[in-house]
Amino acid sequence: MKRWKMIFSLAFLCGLLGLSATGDIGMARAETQSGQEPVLLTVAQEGGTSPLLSLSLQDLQGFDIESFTTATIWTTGPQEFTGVPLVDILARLQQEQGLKTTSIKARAVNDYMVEVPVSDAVEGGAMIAFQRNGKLMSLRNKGPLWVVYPYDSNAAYRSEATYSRSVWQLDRLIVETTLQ
Amino acid sequence: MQTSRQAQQTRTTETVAPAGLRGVFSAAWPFGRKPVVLLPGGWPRITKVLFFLALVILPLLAVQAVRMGLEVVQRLDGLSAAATDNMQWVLSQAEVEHLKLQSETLLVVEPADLAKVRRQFDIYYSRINTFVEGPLFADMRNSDRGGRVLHRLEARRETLVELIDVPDAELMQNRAEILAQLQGNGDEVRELALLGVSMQVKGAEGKRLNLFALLSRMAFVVVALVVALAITALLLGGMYRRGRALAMERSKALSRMEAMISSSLDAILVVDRKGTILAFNGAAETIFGYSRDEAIGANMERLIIPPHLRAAHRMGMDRYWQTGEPRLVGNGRVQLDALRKSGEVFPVELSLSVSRSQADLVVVSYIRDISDRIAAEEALRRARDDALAGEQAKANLLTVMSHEMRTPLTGILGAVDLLHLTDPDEEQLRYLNAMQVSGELLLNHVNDILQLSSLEAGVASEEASAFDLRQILDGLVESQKASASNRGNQLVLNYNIKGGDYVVGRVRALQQALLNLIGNAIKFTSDGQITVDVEHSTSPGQIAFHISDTGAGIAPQDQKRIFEDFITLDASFGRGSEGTGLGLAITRRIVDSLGGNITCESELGEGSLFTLTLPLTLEAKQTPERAQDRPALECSFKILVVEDNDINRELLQQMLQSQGHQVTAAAGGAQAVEACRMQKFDLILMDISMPEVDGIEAIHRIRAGQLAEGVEIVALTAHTGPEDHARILAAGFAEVATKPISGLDLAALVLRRAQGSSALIASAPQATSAQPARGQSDIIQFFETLGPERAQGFLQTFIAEVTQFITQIQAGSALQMAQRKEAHRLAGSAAVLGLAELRSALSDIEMLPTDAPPAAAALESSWQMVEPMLQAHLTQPAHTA
Repeated sequence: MKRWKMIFSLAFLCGLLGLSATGDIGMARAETQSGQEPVLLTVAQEGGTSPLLSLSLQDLQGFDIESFTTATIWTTGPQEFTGVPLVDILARLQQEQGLKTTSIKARAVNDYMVEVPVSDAVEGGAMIAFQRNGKLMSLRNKGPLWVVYPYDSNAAYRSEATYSRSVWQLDRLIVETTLQ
Repeated sequence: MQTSRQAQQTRTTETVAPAGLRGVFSAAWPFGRKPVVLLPGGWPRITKVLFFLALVILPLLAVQAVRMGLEVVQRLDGLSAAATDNMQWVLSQAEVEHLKLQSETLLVVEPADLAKVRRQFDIYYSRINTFVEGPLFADMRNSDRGGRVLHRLEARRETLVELIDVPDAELMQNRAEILAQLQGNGDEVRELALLGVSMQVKGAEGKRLNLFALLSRMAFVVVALVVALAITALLLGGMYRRGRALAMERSKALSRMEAMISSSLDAILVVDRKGTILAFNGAAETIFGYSRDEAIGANMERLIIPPHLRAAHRMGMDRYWQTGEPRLVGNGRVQLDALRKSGEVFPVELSLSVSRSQADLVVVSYIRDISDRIAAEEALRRARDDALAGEQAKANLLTVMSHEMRTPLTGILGAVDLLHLTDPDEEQLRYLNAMQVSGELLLNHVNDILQLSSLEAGVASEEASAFDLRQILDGLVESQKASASNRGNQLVLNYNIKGGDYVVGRVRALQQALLNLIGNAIKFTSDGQITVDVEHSTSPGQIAFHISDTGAGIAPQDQKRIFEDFITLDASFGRGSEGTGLGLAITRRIVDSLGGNITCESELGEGSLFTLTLPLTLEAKQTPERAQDRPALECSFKILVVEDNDINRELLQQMLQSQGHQVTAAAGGAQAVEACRMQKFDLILMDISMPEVDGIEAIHRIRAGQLAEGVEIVALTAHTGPEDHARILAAGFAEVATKPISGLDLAALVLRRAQGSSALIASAPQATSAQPARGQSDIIQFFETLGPERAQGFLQTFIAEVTQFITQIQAGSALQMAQRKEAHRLAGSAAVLGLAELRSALSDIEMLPTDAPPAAAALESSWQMVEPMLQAHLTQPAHTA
């Protein structure tokens, strides 16, 4: 089952890459005009001045993209989400800066903030989605980034705590880290 | 109540003991079988019902509880999963976003600030989208008020989109319009938030009530479950206690059984169908020599059945398992052989029974080692055989001795007779009489010992006759007076019989019994008095004889014993005891054979009283006439005498003729048969041992040819053994007369046996003991019978024949058939003459095998002794008297 999902996701990813190579990047350029990609996700240390990571959509698409389909309590019908698993972000952090994350706080554009346990950052766990049903998400539609969980495939994620961690309009992860 | 309780109790105890053992020992249970089944049947009915009820209800309750539990879990799951993001937060956040948008719009001063407004609107837009899209708000959307409010909000949002999604310059101009729209919108957002709150409260309350109902239902079920479980637990506890009590009872019974089995002196083996030993008790270990561990699991056949019985055992077992018909099983004790570990085969007593143990048939065997018993029995049997052999030897010895004593005694009596003829004076006559009476009694005594052995052999004894009782008693007392006075005793006779002195009975037996008692009285009394009282007994037809003395007496504990064989009471009999111990035993036997009774009363130191009570009938008509030498004959019979021995034949012929009979003589069996064919006789006297056709063969021919119907044939023989008599009687002889036979005995015999003679017996009085039959020696009788001339003639011939025979024997090297016959003939003549030694010497020669060297020594020596005596008879004319 999981393998089928993987194959499907990979196929989808290939298609997506093809798309982004043509239209999306052009559109993004049209939006910023400055030639600089806008930062969608900032990863910063608690109380730190400079961000640890500043990730544009392109950066995010540079990760190993995954996707899954699930229903949510905020949408009607099954939704397909595509994005970067939270664990990969943390792995990047560890890879590039040698920092081991001990706690995560996710903050939305409207300053909603909630703590996401590091234990959610696992394979098949929390994902930072940038596409819903094959489309990039606008701010009006809970975009551009949405922390989602595969609620359907794991009953443990169908809880109020998880729902509260499903932050939409995400723009910042504030982490506490220890040096490796 | 009391009784029913008791009844129940007895029932319980009955159930317990056998049920505990039923499995193993049902068939072997020694105290009777009780077909009891161990079930909860003995329980009170209510408990049983409750138990089954609990068994039915418990699963139902459990299923119900599980079902409700699942429902509760589902509900709880619903509560936790339920998509309740924090609704109030979301709703109130919408108001917050709205307010933020409002304030951002108000704060716009220059077009650069417009980005903030656009951004805040996007956030607000997204928030309202959630209400429109999310299933969480479906209820709200579908409600009247909610739907209306949302609809208005959406409509206003679309208006705002048109106002905001324009270039910056235009947006700057639209600010007032946007604020106006937001002004109206604020109330709507607020109302939506409030609506959300009220709806959530209502929904939560409904759910709570639902859950509460479910939980209380479940609580009820759980309580019921607990109650049912409690009841079940109680019942189980009861069962457990009962079970434990039962198990204890069982183990007690089992240990009792175990004790019984292990303390049993009999070996107990339990064997299954295949012959494998399942149980082996301690006694079995002792008896067979195998330990329990060795025996259990081993094959019984190989272990304890001796090889020679194995095949039979296998066959028997096969037959039993196939047909179910037991031969040994259940048939009580059987004696068999068994095998010890040492290989020793020993006798056992075996009892088998079959028991059904857990649907498996097993055989329970009880085995008793009886080798000791068998050995004891064997020893006892040997002891008894030895004792019997000893007894027989003693009897034989007595018979032989008595026989040998008789011959010299006849000599003495003959000499006394002769002394009577020498004209003795009165005193001498008295002594002579005393001698004669004692001598005759001694002879009778000897005869009686012979009679004792013949009594025991079952041969007929003395015939009853009429005799003068007073005379017998007088003679008896007179004969004992001498020995009585020797010991200083007085012997007194008190005769008190009225109505005549003649009685009918067996005189010799009576004499001997009285003589024994009187002799004993004299023997055990000194300086005292012995009294013989004779009187009528209280019972009619009986006469009582009391012999009392003033002697030593007999201790009470000995008074019964004295009538047993060979009893001498050494201590009390003291110096007087010199007898064989047979006296009283013979007396008792005689009295028994007479149909009488003997008793003894005695006081130690005072004396004894023996009382004889005998059936003696008085013969009132008897003439008090002295007995004669020969019976007076009033009729004559035709008699055939068959005798191969010439002298004997001549003697018999003469004796019978002198008694007035007509006699035909035959010298052998064949001749006798011929004679019978020719003529009818009243009586036949036949010798048994004859050459060629002997007496047995002759009687067979006569009887087979019906030549002498209704005529009695009497055997004459020198054989005296009881077995010879039995053989002769079996051949058909009326009776057996022993040679030599006296004239008186012959006369009596003829009277007894001759045809039609029965009426004459009474008128032919017998000789009294004063003139005893055997008072004369055989040679004298021979002379008397034949007359002196003929007798001497025979004697001369006999002497010549014997002399010639001896010469022949001495000359010849081997025995010829003719010599054997001659020896037989001469032996017969010697017997007639009372020459016992000569006869036996001749018989020995006759019996020698043909061609054997003749043993003449014994014959010669006895002839040397006999010949002078015979010669004397030839020269002495004294016999002619």
